[in-house]
Formats: sequence, C-alpha cells, structure tokens
Amino acid sequence: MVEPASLAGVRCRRCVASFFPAVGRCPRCGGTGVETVDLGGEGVVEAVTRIGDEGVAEVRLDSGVLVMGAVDAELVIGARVRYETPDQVMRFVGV
Amino acid sequence: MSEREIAIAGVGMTRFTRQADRGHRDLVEEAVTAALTHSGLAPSDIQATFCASVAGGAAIGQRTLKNLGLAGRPIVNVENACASGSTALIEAQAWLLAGFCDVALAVGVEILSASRGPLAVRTPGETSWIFETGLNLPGWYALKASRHMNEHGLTLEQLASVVVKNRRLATLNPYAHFRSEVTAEEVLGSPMIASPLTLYQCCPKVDGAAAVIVCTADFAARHGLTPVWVRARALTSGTQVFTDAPEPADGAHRAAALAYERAGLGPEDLDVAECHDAFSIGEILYTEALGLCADGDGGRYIAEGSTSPGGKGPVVNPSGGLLSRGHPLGASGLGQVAEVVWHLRGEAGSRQVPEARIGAVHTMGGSEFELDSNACSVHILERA
Repeated sequence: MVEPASLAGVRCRRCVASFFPAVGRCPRCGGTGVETVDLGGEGVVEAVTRIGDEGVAEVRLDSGVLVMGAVDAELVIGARVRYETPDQVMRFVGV
Repeated sequence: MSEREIAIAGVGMTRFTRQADRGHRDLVEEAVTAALTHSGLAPSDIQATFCASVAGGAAIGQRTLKNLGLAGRPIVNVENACASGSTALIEAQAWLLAGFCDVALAVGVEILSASRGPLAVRTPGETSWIFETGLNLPGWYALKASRHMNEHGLTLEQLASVVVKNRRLATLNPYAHFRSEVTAEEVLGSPMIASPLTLYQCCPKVDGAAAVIVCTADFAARHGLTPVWVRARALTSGTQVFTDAPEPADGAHRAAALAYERAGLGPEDLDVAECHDAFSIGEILYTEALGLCADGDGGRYIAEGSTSPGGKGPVVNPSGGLLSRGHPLGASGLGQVAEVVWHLRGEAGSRQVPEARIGAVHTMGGSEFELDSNACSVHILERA
C-alpha cells in the first residue's frame, strides 16, 4: 500500500488560514508566526479548462485549501482527484 | 477626494491594429500629437511624462518621446501588466496632487502582433509551479468561466453575447482592429482555445499607442481648457487565492468600491463604461464587479441587452472593447480613457452615447496567478 502523496502548505496562527505553496511567512499578513502543515492530497475539481489535449483544474482539497494542477482533459467539475507526483508538474488524477 | 481637482485636458490614440512595422516611436508620436492637438496645449506645456509599456523594454519613454519636444523634463516609465496605461495615468495625477507639476502626460505603447500564439507571460529563467501545469492567460480566464457556469448557470450563449455586442459596436469605431460583426454561432464555432473560451472570445494581440493629458483644475481654468473631471481613481492588487481563508473581495470589486466611495457616486450614476474584456468572461465578471448587476448575474444582464445602446444600464464598451479594438497592453487603459472622454465631450461621432455625463474606466492586469490579479484600476470621470 503506497501512502498517497500529500501537499505541504503554511498555516498562519494570526490569520487562522492556510496557504499553498509552503513559504516562510504568511502571504496575507507577512507574519512569521507560521508553521508548515500537511494539506493532504485529495480533493474535488471546482473548475476545469481544456487547453489542447491537456486539462488544468482548480481543486479544493479536503483540507479546504484551493490549489491548481494539470488533470486529464476528461475530468469534470465535481470529480474526486488525488495529487500525484510523476514529475515536477503539479498534477491530479481521478480516484 | 470627490472634488474636481484634476481635469483630463485632452486624449489621443492611434488605431489599435497590426502595425508592428511602424515601431514604438512612430506610434507614440501619433498618439501624443493627437492628445496635444485635442487639448490645445503645446509640447512645452507638458511638465512630466509617464510612459507605460509591458514589453517595450528599458527607457521606452525616453526612446519614444525624445523627438517630441518633451525631453529635459521628468520621464517616468511604468509597468503594471495590462493595467500599465491606467497606472501611468494614476501616477501622473499623483504628481499633480503632490504639487510637483500642473500638467502631465500619460502615454502607453505596445507592439504585440509580431509574436504568435497566446501572450507569453513567463519571465525567462523563472519557474512557476502554475505555468508548469500548462496554464496560460486564456486558461486562467477559462477557469473563471468554468466556475461561473457551475456556480451561477452562465451559458455558452451568454458568453458569446458579449462578443456579438462588442463586435457590433466596433463597426462604428475607426480605432478598432475588428470592424465587422460576428454571430453567436460564429463565436461558438471558432477554434477552441481554452474551454469554454473560443478564439473569438479572446482579444486580438495588436499594436498601438494612446495618450492622456491631465492638469490641475486651476491650470485648466487659467488656460481656458475643456475639462473632463477625474472624480475618483482607485488602484488595487490582488490577494492570494490558494488558501482556505474566506475569500476577501477580489481586486476588481475592491477597486470599484473604492472609486465609487471616493467619487461619492454609484453604479446607478454611470452613463457609459469601458470595461476590461480581454476575454468574454472578463466583461461578465467586471460588469458584476462594477456593481451594474448582482454577482453571478452578469451573463444574463449582458445577454438581455442591459449594457447595449438603449438598454437599462450604462453602455459598456461602446468602443467594441478589447475584444474588437484589440489589446496593446501598455496602451489599452489609456485607449479606454480616450473612449470615455470622447463620449463625455460629445465627440464620439456615430457611436456617441447620448447625454453621457458620468463614465467609468476599468482596467485589469494579470499574470501572477497566485493572486486574483496583478492590478485593477477604476477611474470615474465626469463631463464639465
């Protein structure tokens, strides 16, 4: 059983908000009171476009953070997807 | 800041079309000469110049203005993505309000038609996790359209109606690149660029320049100029979208709210607006952001003709918008200002919005996709 890949983000204690990608400060308030958090790797497609044969989607992770990634062009809004790391490209596949 | 402190004294622009062989300097000379003539001022009256361009390169202002009698005084170069021209105009006003000068010129220029395909916004040598997904500018707007369709029931026909309206209006605009009408069937049948956006729903990459001369109210009075008043201006940048935080209002909503508040006016006061329709979905989103209709209702509102001549709202994009006129990035915002000024002065010819008294100019800049926008500028203008 392979552990599903997970995305790292940053959580700001003052803003009570998490952000992707993980950076050293809170992107909203600039504060350094932040910690790296595991955002999980599964979520739901909220918006999708097809550019040529490739898809790009906005994905709402189950943790609540919105991210974006390449997807199979056939995926539609509402599809459940998981993050996968075959290469350097941020990509989600259907589950 | 709703006092009538700053006047637009004159505007001018080249046609926006494919004319890359003319070069930046020739385009700037035509636009600036037209604005000077329109204002009745001489080059020696201009005390500072703000030159906007995205891809024009270093010292674009000095390179293009040096033979126009404007050298020797401050020349400031401005880059703020697609909102560069509007930002240059705000910078010019800041110098007036600070008392640095009484008259300033904002000019924007861009040559884009020489490159093929969607606008390249990647900085050479810099990587971005977003660009590696394959996303480009049409795709970025396409995702907004996808979300709108899912959350608000926006239809393909409503998307197409924006293009049909703007292309029809552009048949009357000699400054527009496209001057022929298209049908909804032609719009939806044109090649798919980034679903659901087809080619005709994407603005053409063109070349052009536009110029706007601003001065203090006192200078306008002393020299007997015909003012169009800047009642308010607002500039925002976007905030992070990849978060679980409740979404704050995006840059466009915040800029519009700030401009209305500063002007002491509201969307119901507008007679005419130029709005940043780089893509069909853009006009829908920003018609909503300008408060002309409720959020989510823009597609229906435009499709039923509310922002067409004779509709119940202000006429939006009487020029034909970026979808028809084209989008020479640094010049676009100032071209929008020129259009609204012509309407407010009753000089818009066969496309004149009757009795136009209050106008809005809305310009977006975008490509840093971790933010909802790079920049958004809103101006509220009033005829004298």
